[in-house]
Amino acid sequence: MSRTLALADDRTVWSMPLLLKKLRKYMLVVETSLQSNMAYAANFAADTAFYAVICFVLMSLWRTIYAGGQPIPDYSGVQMMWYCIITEMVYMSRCDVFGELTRAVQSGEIAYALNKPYDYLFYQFAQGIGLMLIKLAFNGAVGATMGLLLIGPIQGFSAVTLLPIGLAILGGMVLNTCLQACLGLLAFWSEDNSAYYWIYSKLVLMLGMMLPVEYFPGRLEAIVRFLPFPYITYGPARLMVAFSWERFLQTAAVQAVYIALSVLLAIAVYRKGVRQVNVNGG
Amino acid sequence: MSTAVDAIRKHARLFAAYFRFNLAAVMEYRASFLMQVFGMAINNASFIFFWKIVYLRVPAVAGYEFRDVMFLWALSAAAFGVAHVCFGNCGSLGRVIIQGELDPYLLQPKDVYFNVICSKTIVSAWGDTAYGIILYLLVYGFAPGRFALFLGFVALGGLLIASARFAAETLTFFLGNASAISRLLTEFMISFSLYPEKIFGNSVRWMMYSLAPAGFVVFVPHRIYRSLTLASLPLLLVADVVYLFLGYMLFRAGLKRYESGNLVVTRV
Repeated sequence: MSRTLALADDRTVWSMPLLLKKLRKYMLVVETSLQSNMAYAANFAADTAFYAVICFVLMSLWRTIYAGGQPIPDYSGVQMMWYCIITEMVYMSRCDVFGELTRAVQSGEIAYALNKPYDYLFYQFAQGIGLMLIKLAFNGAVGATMGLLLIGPIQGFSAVTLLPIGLAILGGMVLNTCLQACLGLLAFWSEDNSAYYWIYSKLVLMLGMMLPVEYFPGRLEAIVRFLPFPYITYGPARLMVAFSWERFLQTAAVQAVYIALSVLLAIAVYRKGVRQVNVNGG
Repeated sequence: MSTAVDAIRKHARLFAAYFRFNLAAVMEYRASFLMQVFGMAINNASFIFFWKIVYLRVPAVAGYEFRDVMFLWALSAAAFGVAHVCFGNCGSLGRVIIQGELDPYLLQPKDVYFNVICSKTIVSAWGDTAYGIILYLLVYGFAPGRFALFLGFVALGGLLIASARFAAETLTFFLGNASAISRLLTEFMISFSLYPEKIFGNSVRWMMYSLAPAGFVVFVPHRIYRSLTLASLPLLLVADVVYLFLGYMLFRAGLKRYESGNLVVTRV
């Protein structure tokens, strides 16, 4: 019953005015999410303070390491410390789409969303974007201040590159959200899907966040570059510390491919999973 | 004197009973328990990968070799685990106060501080404890004397972590909601205890030996363990006693400000 209602939206013939109308609908969700989260802006203070602590610890670590010599030629001490600021900023500004979807599926709350005039996945995504933008603003302000005061500017950095770097940051966050959504939807089949998320978060952390991929031994570096994980935090951070248009295009292209694949996967998993939802009662 | 011994014996029995019941409760959902334990152990283990890669490029960080960093990780994880296995409410007092759930503890003929702090266990903390001990044995091997010393540090560190977290949560009596302070203190303690001490400047190190006592949880034990001279051991014991005493007195002072919400709850 519910599925018919949910999928009715998908069977509609697509046209440009309709697409714009839909886009406006989800933009409104983003706006609402921004407004409601701004009302509790103080809640983000503790998260931002934690971000500052982590940045401080990592900056202290790398400052000490580089004081003894440059471990790899690709990064100077200043670049390495800015790399940490950016990777942590992208990762810690994420939204909890995984948790939201898992809770909705496990509690059965998802049944209420099936007959609403929106696509549930896109609705969750738009909600998450609002939250991520606020976190990014807080963390970005703190990270930039810490970087400029404690490290100093990156040599050769140009403000003109902020726009493409910003796009890559958003690309990384969107990719992370899409992959999280795929894992969250596994709750349709798995009673406790938290183990998948733990493994995923460690892969993100270890393969191109805590350390740039250039640090890995040769063969491992080559393998890691083919995976989606480094393009969540490493890609944008590498652009920040050593920008080139060629690197930007390559990062953006890989992000686009992985985002498209994960969106398609999330939609397929959602459609398959939602068929199993039984709505009872009135 | 005999009254004091009697009171200690009674509270030890209470602690044992809580431990037994908490363990039985988590084992009721065995699959979930094991998953959380292994999940947490794998979660912690991933950082070995990070340090291994770092040490491929540099021989030492601030005088710490790979084995030294692993000692910090093993001790921090095991101490944090013990703190939350045995004193699982050390990070939840604020919620207990705000929700008016302190009343049942006030009615029972046991010390409120002790009764509250050890009445709960955190499931994933079993994973931290197991990880810490296994990591230690893998890196340092099994030498009975040294292993006993390590376990002693784990016990002292666990007491200190639980006492510091509980003290931060106690501020809820005075401030209304101290969850942000408590969380920040916890993050401070964890983050500072996992990296070589000398990467931090003097002001941070001062904090590690006062407000966020990571120094007494890992760095002093590490110095004792490395040099095998017990000269700093009394300092460690005194620090533990002082933190416990101050935390206890803060709780007693805060408890006087507590107002019951007359909430009727059942503790199962």
